[in-house]
Amino acid sequence: MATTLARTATRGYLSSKLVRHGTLLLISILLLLLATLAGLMIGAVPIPAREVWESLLHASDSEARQIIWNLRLPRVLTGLLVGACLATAGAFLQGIFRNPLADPGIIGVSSGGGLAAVGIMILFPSQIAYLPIAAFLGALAAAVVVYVLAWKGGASPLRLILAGVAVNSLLGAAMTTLMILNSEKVQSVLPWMSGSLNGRSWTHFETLLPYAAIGLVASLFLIKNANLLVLGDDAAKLLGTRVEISRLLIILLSTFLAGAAISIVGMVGFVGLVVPHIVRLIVGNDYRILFPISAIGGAALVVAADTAARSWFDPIEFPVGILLALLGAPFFLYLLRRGIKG
Amino acid sequence: MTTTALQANKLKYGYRAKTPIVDGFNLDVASGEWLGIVGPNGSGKSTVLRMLARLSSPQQGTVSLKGRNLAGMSSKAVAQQMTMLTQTQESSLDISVRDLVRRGRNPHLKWYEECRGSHEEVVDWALKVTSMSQLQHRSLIELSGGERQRAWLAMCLAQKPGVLLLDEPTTYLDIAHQLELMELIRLLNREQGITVVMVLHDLNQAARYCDRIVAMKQGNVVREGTPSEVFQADFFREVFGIEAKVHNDGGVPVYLPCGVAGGSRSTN
Repeated sequence: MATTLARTATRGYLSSKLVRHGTLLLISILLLLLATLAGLMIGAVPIPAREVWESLLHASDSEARQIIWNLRLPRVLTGLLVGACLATAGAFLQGIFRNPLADPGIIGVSSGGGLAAVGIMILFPSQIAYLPIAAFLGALAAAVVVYVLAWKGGASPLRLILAGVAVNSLLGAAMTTLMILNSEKVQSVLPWMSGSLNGRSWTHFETLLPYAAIGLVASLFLIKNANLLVLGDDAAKLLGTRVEISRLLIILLSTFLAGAAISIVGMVGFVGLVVPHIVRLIVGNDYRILFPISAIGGAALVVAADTAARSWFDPIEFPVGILLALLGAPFFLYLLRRGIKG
Repeated sequence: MTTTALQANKLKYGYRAKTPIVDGFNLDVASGEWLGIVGPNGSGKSTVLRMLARLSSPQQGTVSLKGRNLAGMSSKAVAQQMTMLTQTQESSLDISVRDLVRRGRNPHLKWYEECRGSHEEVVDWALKVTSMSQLQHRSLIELSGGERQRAWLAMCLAQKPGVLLLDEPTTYLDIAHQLELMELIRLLNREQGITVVMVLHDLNQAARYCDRIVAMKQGNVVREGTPSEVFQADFFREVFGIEAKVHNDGGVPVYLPCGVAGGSRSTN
């Protein structure tokens, strides 16, 4: 009798938890749709929702169709993928470092990708077509160096963070040196350094799509590993996890996702740090729900922020990365002080 | 004839080669027994326990679990048979108690399997024996220290281990919770036949609950036997450097510390 009651109670609780998670998932999807719609409507030429809809469905020569199809849609979709990639990378890294301040920058992704990109822009401007692949490889290389430096019979989170700090400051110094020695070209580098979706087209989207798809699908297979690693290295080992391999896989995945994103839009910070952090405050540490909501939330945030960045300061195209930091940082501090779940 | 559950053979471990923390450590744990490891700070108790649990690898020597060399076993195979309640746990985890205990089933699940069906029944059982059923839907961050430790113990039990290692599990508990935990371990040891190896600070609790006591000093075993055999006046002087009187409380030795041996400790 008592067991039956407990069972029923458990089942009732489980379904209420499912309902809660389902609701949160729906809300985040709704937010993403709203951000996407706003991104398509708002701009130098405002286009009402009905026209947006018609332009999406029917090919025509109308101005609205041209603006939506050739300018806004590829830019919105690129932003969407970038946000999902960065937030997912951040969510997984925060778990394996068991540190809420971890983001893709911590393992050298931003500084490695940044140095490679700045190098191309300043030293080999004629090879600009190779910038994304150079930035992507730079990000991967920096993460590998950080990992190798941190290895000593294992790569503990603390040693990874220390190695990351060292590699970041070295690469950052190299990047600054390049810019100081070529100060006349710095102007062209700045938008990339601050992360911008300006002029992102179908080509960019099509370049990023396979990487994002592979990375996000692979994330599904690492949910279990992440859920065990957040318990701590010892606990994860005692539960039969091969901790070092698990951690390496998650680092590789995060590097892949974040490297792909920044290679297309430059150094958009903050999304990978703040989105998973906020989502964790709401849903807790379970990656089965933390990962999907972070990915969708990151996508929505980047799309919304980019829409604001290009409309508020019209005719100046404000880099989305700067706006995210300007607005996001105070909001983040507010959340930290308040604490969502109490 | 009892079988050996866990065996350590000439274990050596140290950060510096000249001054190993543990050197030439041997141990035989019989199946179904409750063994207590005691010793002063820095005697290598926890280091030994970590090697037994394969959380660290000995620089020399081997550990075998039911006759199989631990070093050659897969992580999952080890986790199906043995686990450890560590002294401290990750404290800022916002997951429910039940979700934590579910992760204890991991060693018994294939990589694509979720904790369902009969696995959920094991989770129910682990929550019940640790009296955590009522709290199973609370988040870990809402629990008191004692409750949180019971939650982690429930996770260990969900692994259904034949051998359970515990590293000073009573350190952060008040006396009532200490005794509750020891009674629970006794129940698991007697009724489930779980072999228990526990590092303990409280010698009187060690004497009251353990079948056998191993005393360590400077990385090796100095005394070994039943509580009555080990607890002699000279034991406290030699191993802990204290003077103590030993009383007999219905067959259980109870010690009362009277002071530091030789009046006061030297101050070198």
